Amino acid sequence: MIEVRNITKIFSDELGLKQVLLNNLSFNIADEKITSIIAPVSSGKSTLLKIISDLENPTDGSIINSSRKKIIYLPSLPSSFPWLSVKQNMLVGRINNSDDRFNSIINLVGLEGYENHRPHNSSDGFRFRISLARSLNQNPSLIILDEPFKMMKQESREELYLLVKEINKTIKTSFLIATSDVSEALCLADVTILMKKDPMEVIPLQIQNTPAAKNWINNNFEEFLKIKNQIEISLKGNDLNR
Amino acid sequence: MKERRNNFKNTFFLIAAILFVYIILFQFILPINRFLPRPSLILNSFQLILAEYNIANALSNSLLVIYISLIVTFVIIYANVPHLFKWFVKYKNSFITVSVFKYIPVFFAMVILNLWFLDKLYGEFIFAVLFCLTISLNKLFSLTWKVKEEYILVAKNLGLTPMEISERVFWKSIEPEFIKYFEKVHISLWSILLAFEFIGNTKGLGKAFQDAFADSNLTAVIIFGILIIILISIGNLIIDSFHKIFTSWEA
Repeated sequence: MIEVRNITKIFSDELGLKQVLLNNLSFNIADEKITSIIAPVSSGKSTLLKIISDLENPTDGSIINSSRKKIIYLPSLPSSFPWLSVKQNMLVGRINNSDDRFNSIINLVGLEGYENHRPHNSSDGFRFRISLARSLNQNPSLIILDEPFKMMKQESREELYLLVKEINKTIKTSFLIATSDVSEALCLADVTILMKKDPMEVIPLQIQNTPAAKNWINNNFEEFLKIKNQIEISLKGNDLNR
Repeated sequence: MKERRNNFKNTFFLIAAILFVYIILFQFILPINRFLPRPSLILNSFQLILAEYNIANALSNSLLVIYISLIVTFVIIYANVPHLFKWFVKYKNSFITVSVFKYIPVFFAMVILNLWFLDKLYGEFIFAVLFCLTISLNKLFSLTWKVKEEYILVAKNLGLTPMEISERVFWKSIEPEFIKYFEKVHISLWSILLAFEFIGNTKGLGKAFQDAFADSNLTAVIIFGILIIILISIGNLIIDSFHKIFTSWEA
């Protein structure tokens, strides 16, 4: 389990005035589960994700990673290196995995036959698969996806939702997915965390075992709408309270 | 590929049209004028002019200086890639301060270096390498801030060292645009070096231009011009092919 403990992030703006971006946030990220963070735009979620993955320092608070394995961060825009082939991309960073593991990851993310392909003209979906493969090759305790499907077509999104679910089910990798799309979070996650802005507050919303959603949403449409509305009202809470 | 073929076709037709107009206008309508020589005169005096102005020597001198300077510049930059980006980021303000030297006209540098080194070939080399290095480093500096943040974040997250990030992310990310920019460096160097040779007392093509200019030999000037256009086009084709073969990605 990864514990996010009392994270506070304060920035100084251009005039030197201090701005509180994250205020005393605490929550846990469960092992072997898909957790989603739903947050409005400009609420500081990317900063929070970078703090969790040790790419940025908090002003106060700490991240406790009991597994001591890597936490991998994938930004919202494609991050596979277009000058490297799929195989070379996967070998960036830690490279002491066996061929078997390498091949099983390639098969799992659906890149078999593309090992020597360079992704510079490929779709965002294909580049996302490469980034996922590279991340899995690091044998991480958690993969953080920062609004990964924002720029993708609905068709690609649905394919990749299933892929993330499949990876989580097959090799028990934990995921933390940030999104501002409520439907996406509900489709994917086992546990959903809400981040409200002003005052900054985190409300863990335990929606356990949400099924790979398309079918579930079709079969439980009223329930889906009810949950979606509840979340959207919570996210707008600060506006309604004024 | 289709677009490339179309561009090639369009260029070919443009050159053919210009040649056609030139031949009709200056061979048949205005054979005697003070702007351009008759096409037949160029064809007939081509070999004679090349021999008279010792173009083989002049050409080898200029080609040697231009292409060795380009190669030396590329090698210096390539060998220092891991450090360059680190310096750019660390001393960003110092680089911005140094950029005040951009207001020094190249012509001034040309005259000064000509005076310092007189007609020495290594003076030309020093001038050419300094010129290429200055504009290439300036380009590299401006490209550094265009590297996508996602790549840097991912590289840091994967545990790459700052040196590895410089070499494997910064450089690779801007390499295609930088190589493409070498076409501009190449064209600029030709123009600048010809001017350097023209005002100095060197043995290059610029000197041949100077002699033709002193003789008021318009035909020779046009022939040298055609020769240079062909050489620049071949040079740029080579750089473009290098770009397409080795750095074909879009970062």
